[in-house]
Amino acid sequence: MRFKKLRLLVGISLILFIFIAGSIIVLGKLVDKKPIVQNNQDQNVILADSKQIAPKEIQNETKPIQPVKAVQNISPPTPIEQPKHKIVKPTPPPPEPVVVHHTRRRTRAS
Amino acid sequence: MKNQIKITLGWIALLLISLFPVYLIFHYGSGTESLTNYASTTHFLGEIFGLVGMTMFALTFILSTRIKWLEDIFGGLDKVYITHAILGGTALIMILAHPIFLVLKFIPVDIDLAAKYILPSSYWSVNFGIIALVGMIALIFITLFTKMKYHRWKFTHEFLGLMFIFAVLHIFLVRGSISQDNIFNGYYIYAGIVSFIGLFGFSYSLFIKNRLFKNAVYKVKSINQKKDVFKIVISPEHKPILYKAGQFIFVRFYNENISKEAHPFSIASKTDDDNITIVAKMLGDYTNKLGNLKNGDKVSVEGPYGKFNYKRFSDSNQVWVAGGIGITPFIGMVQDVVNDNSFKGTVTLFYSVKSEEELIGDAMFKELSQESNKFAYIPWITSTNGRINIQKIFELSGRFRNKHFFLCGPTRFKESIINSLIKNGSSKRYIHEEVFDFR
Repeated sequence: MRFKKLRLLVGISLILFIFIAGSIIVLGKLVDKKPIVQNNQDQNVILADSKQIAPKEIQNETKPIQPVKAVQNISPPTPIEQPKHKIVKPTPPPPEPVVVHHTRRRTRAS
Repeated sequence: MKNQIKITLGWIALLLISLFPVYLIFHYGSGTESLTNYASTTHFLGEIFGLVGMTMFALTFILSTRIKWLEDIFGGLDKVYITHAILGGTALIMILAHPIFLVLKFIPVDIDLAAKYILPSSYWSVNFGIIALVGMIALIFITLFTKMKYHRWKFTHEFLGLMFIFAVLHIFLVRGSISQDNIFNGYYIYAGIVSFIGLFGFSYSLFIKNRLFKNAVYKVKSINQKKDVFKIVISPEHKPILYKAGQFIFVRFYNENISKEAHPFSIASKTDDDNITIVAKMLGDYTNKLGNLKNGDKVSVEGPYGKFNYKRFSDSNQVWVAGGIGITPFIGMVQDVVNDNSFKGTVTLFYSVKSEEELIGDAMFKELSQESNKFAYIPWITSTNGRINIQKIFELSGRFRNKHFFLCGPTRFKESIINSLIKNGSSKRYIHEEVFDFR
């Protein structure tokens, strides 16, 4: 078989690549928690995830972080300044609030 | 010795060109300033791996153009293709390291951010890079680790050009969109040159060469089959090509039952004979169909290529070792050497086959060895004598000192003899092999 050493080197590199990239993706997914919408009737309020904002050092070196989904009907808050467990009220408030929905904004535990 | 120097210089040139981005980063870019902390060091290495890999990737396309001067540097087209494969594999390793090192800096801070970095996103500049990488992995995996039929493999291999185009889009767009750091001044000029080299090589092989240089036109003069071996003689329609015995050509047969891709075959006729003899064994999907050829079928011939010829060492005694269908280049060389007054040495041909029925040109070799005192012929039947080895060759051909060895046959067969020769003190520059499986 030709290129024995080359096959070996490329094979090892591919396995390492798949292992490292796979581990990063799996660990990343495990850490990543879906944003929680507490009230089904109020799905237009989708919470921004505070981890979207990278530390300043990284922001300078890499791509700007992409927001997950547009936050509709409310102006996107600046999550860095968001205190944890802040209550967000939908704006504008419902005209005839039969039931008042409270939506809890949560940030990642980390 | 001169040839060895050329090959070494060829490799040095390839390495220097490939590593040129490292020089540019240190001379015109951030250089050692980037090596101050973990994040910037890994980022810096990621960029270096990417640029070096991309440069190597571009050079592989130049090596696949079959341009004549590359043959002169690397000692034959078969050796150019070996260089092409080694450089392509190394390019893939470098390019695999590129995203890994770029995300390493995120891992201590935020593993999720690292994961997002290597997955497709709305940034097409990054997505182009991901497409190129995944495509390159798949296509090189096919080349190195599968036994796909030749014409299918060749078809898939051409898609590496498309992957290169995606990689070019990545290197041009990525700086303006996600990466704002200044790798080095003149980055776009360098990226432009690398892109041009690769795209030129790719388009030259695929589109330009065939329009620029017309292949010689031949027709099938005769075809004979003995067991699973075809002997095909083709004659020129107009001007014949000039070749040396031992070289090979790319042949395209125009027959409705045979695929149209160009296939490499050793020339089995003596130097500059107007007619060209091809001897082919039914070893795969393409050669199995050669029996469909008819007299008068049109044949397109590209070449000749290769440097497998005894004349480079006309003053030396030589040992030629053929395994199975590897006899083909020696058929013409034997006819040349017995009539070559400029050749001052002697030749001993060892021809190893499983059974006596497999011998090709046996009667001719026997006749020529009786007529000439500078040619000896030793057929070796492995079913009765066992595998040929270096001890047997030594016993039958005498001491090896200053003898040149020419080998052609299956890879394992050649490797076993080459390794034994080197163990027994032969220098690599006295060993010459013909490679006929390019994959």
